[in-house]
Amino acid sequence: MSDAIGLALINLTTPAVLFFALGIFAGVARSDLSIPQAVAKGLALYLMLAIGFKGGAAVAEVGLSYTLLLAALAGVLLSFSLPVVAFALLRAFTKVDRATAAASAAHYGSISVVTFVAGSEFLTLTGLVWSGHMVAVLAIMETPAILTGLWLAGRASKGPDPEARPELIREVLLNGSVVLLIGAFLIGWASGPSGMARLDLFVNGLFQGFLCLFLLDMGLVAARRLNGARKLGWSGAAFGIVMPLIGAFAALPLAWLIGMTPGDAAALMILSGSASYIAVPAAMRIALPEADPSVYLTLSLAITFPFNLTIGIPLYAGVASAVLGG
Amino acid sequence: MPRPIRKKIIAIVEAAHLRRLVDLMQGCGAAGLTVIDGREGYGVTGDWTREGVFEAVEMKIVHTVVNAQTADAVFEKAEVFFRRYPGIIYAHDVEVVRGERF
Repeated sequence: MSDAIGLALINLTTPAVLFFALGIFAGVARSDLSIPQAVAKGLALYLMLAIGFKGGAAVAEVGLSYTLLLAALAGVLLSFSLPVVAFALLRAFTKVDRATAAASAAHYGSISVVTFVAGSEFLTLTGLVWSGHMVAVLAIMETPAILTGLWLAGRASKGPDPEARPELIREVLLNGSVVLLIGAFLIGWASGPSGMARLDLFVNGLFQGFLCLFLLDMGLVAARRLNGARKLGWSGAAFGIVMPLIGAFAALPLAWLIGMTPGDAAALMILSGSASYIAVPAAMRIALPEADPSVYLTLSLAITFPFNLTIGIPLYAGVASAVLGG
Repeated sequence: MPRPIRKKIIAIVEAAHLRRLVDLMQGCGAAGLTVIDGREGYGVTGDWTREGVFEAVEMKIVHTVVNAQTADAVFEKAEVFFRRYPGIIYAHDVEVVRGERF
């Protein structure tokens, strides 16, 4: 118990989380503080490049093993199946329509890169070692949930628009975040330790500072989105907290089954418990324009992301460590 | 000296659907168009703003000047397009120089 509280306190006093809180405060207080949109986009690209490159370089150092394949399979299974659970909960306990429930469900099967970035920093800080190949698992988990979401929506009267199919396929397969993550991972893998030595200052030295700036912006955006939480009602807001817990704890038995280390298991729990807010919204706007974006963006940005950043990450790390550590 | 009159069409569309609207206009014969970023606004489906890294719900504004026949063709197809996708389209008469270009 004291370990769990200790982990939570460590997390809550990291500069990244405190800058996120500052952003929330500034947004709620209606301060004129803002991060220019081009800067925010640049920071997001930087974080994806850095995490991809670091993951690839780590794999180059220790080599590939069958554990990557098993971890990838676990990730794909979670990404495909979690939207079904999310969809059932949304339809049973909230008033959102079928298309919006399907689109929202897809967000919860997919992943949030920034949650993973913050989570991996926390794992490193607390001494839980995670494998670089989890970055590849992250990239792999982006897409299956989108397919499940579209399948769930297709069972409704108005499914995905057939005319938008080529654009949707391009978005799903060549989404900028997927291309950059996988590309940076492969570059990190190919260039190995010597590549890391050249980019060390960029991808490691500056990382915390850029993460703080990005999370400040995320806090501002989340605060703006809080207005939409009223529309969700209590049951919708509760979904935004319960669903990440379901996702994370669904990952735990899989992690145990495939013999993951506590660090990798925590990373898989963080991925499963996170909700996308870049790749999936883009795909859902193309495929399901009738789904209400204010519902799924409020859920993933204003409720699930802050929950994971403050409580979820230390909780998942603590549980993974307690269950698999001994 | 009276100048030629053409139709200026203005459409406001979500970034995610911009490419298809541009293709629609080109397919109807629009010889040129300009796209600019929307900053913020609201409509029957709620409010929107440019924020962070979320391009999907950004709005883009498409301007094109065309002859009356092309405007009719664009409006006919836009009826179907905007029945499903969020956004609006409208037009008004404008005076132009070098009318043969439109």
